[in-house]
Amino acid sequence: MNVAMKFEDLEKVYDLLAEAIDRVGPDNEAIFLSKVCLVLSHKIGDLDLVEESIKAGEQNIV
Amino acid sequence: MKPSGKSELDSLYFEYPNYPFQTPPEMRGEKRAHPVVIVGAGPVGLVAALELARHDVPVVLLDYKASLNEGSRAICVSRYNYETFQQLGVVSAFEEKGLGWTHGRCYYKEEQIYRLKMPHSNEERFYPMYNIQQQYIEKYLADAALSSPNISIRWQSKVSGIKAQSDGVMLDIETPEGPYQIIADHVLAADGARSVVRKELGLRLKGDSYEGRYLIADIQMQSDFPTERRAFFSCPVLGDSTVLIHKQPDNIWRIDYQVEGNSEEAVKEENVRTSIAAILDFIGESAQWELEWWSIYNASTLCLDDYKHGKVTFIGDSAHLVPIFGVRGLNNGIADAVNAAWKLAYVIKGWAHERILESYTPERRGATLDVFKSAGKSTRFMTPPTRGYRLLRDAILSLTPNNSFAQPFADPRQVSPYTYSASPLTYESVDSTEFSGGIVAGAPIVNMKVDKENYLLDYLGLGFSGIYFCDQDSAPDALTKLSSKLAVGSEPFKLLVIAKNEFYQGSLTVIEDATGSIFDAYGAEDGSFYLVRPDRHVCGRWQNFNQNEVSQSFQMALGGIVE
Repeated sequence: MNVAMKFEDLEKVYDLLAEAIDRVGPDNEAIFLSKVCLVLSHKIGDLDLVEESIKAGEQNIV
Repeated sequence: MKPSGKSELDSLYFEYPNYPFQTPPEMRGEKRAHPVVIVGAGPVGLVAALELARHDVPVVLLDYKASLNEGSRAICVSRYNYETFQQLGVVSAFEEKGLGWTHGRCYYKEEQIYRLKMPHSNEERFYPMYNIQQQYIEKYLADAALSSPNISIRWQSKVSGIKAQSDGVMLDIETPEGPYQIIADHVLAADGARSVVRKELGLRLKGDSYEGRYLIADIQMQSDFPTERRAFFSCPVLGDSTVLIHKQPDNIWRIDYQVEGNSEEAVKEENVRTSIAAILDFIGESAQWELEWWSIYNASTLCLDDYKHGKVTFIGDSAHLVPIFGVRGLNNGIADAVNAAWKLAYVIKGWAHERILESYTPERRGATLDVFKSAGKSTRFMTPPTRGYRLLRDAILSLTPNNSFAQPFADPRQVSPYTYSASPLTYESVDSTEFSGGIVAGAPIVNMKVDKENYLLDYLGLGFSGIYFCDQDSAPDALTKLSSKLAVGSEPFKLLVIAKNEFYQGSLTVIEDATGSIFDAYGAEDGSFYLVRPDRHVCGRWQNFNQNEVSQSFQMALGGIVE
C-alpha cells in the first residue's frame, strides 16, 4: 500500500485542494479538510499509516 | 529609481559609458542595403548581433539610449547561456566577474526549513547559475559588438515607425541630428517589454497578470554570506510577506520583497529604506549599507500569438513577459536571440531554406508556454492569490523540514533549457527508442569534461557538428566521408569521435573517454551518433550510425532542400 504519489500528481492535489478551500469558504474549511481526511483514511484502510500522517501534520505547528 | 540627489547613471559600483551619436551613411545621402537591422541594444539584441556576426553576416543595431541599462534588473545567468557566451567568444569576462552558485536556502517564518542544491557535477565546466548585474552583461556584450567588424551600433537612434514594403522593412529613425529612414531585409525586434516595433505593427501581448507585486532593490553592503539564493516565506518583519536575497559582484545585494497595499507608497525612498533595514536586521546583518537602485515589479505571463510577422521577428521581452521567479526573462531572451539569429544567418547566406525561419515560433514560443506552466506555479507559491493557496503553501512549508516529499514545492523551479522535441527541425530516428538515457533529440548537448582543461564544447565547430561514439580502434569509412557532405557554405562540419581507446585516423578529432563518463552522459554505445545544430541542440541521434538518416536529419534541420 505504501506507494508514494508522483510529484506531478501531488501538484495537482495542491491546486485541487486550494480551489476547493476557496469554494467552501473560510467558515467551512476546517470541516471540509476533516472530511477529506476521513474519506482518504477510509480508502487507505491502514490505521498505522493514518496515525503516522496525523503526527506528521501536527509537527511544526506554531 | 535612484536615491534623491542621484542621477539615473550615478552608481556606487558601475561606470556608465557614454556612446556618442555618429551620423549614419543614410543621413549623408548614401544608399545602403542591410540584410538585418536589430532594434534594441540590450542583452538580447546584442546576443543576436554577435551570433549573426559569428556567421559573418553584417548587422546594424539601433538603440535610443546613449549608454547601458539604468539599474540592474536581470542578475542571474544560467549555465546554458554561459555556454552561449563561450560560443560568442565573450565568456572569459563573464567568468571573471560572475558569482557562480549551486545552493539555496529556504526559510519559513523564523526557521531555515530546506537547503536547496542544484544539479551540478565536476564533469561540467560552468556552474548551474551565475549572479552578475545587467550592466556588466550588457557591457561585456557591447564591448565585443563594438569591436566586431560585422556589427555597427547606432546609439541615440530611436525607432518611431515601421512599415513592410515589397523590398523589405522600412524603419523611421529619430536622432539628435534629425530623422532618417533605413530599409532592411529582416528586422529583429529586441526592444523590450514596451516594444515600439510591436506597437507600431499593432500587435499585442496576451495572457495573464498576477496580483502580487514585488519591490526589487540593490544595496551595497559588506557581508561574508556566501552566494546562495535565500527565500524567506512569511518573513515576520514585513507582515508575513515573501523576501528573496541574492548576492551580486561588487558587494551588491539584491533584495526582493513582496509589497502589500499601495505601490505608490511602497516605492517612496523612505519606505524602501525602512523595509530593507527591517529585513537586514531580521537576517542579522549589522554592517553599514547604501541604497543603489530600486524598482517595482508585477508578475505576468504574456506573449505574442506568433513571434514572427513577415520579415519582423520578436526576440526577448518584446515577444513575452514572464514572472521573475526562476530567472527566465533574460535567460530565455538570450536563447530566443541565438535561435533567431543563426537561422537568419543561414538564410541570408543562402545555406538554408527560408522555411527554417518558420521553426522559430514553435521552438521559442514553445519555450515560453513551458515557462508559463512552471512560472504560474512558482508565482502562486511565492505570492498565494487566495486563502486556499495560502493555506496549502503554508502546509507545504510546515511539512518541508520533516517530509522530503514536500521539498520540491519549495524549489525555485529555476530556468532549464527547453527541448525542441516538437520542432520541424528535429528528427526522430527509428532507433532513438533504443537509448536508455543520454540527451533526447531537441535538447542541448551536455558540456562534459574531456580532460583537465577541456570540455566538449571547446571542440564544437561554428556550424553543425557530429559526435560519434567508438569502442573500436578505428572509425567506419562512411563516417569519415560524412564531413564533406555536411559542410554548409563556408562553415565546415565538425566531426568528433569519442573513443574508449584513443587512436589516430587521418584528420579526425578523436577524444579519449577512458572512464566512459561521456559515453554514459550520452547513453551511448559503440556506433552511436549525435547530430548537433549550431546552437548546441541535438537535431537527431542514432544508437547505430545510419548515414541516410543522418543526411535526412541534416536537411530537415536546414528547413529542407535548398533549390
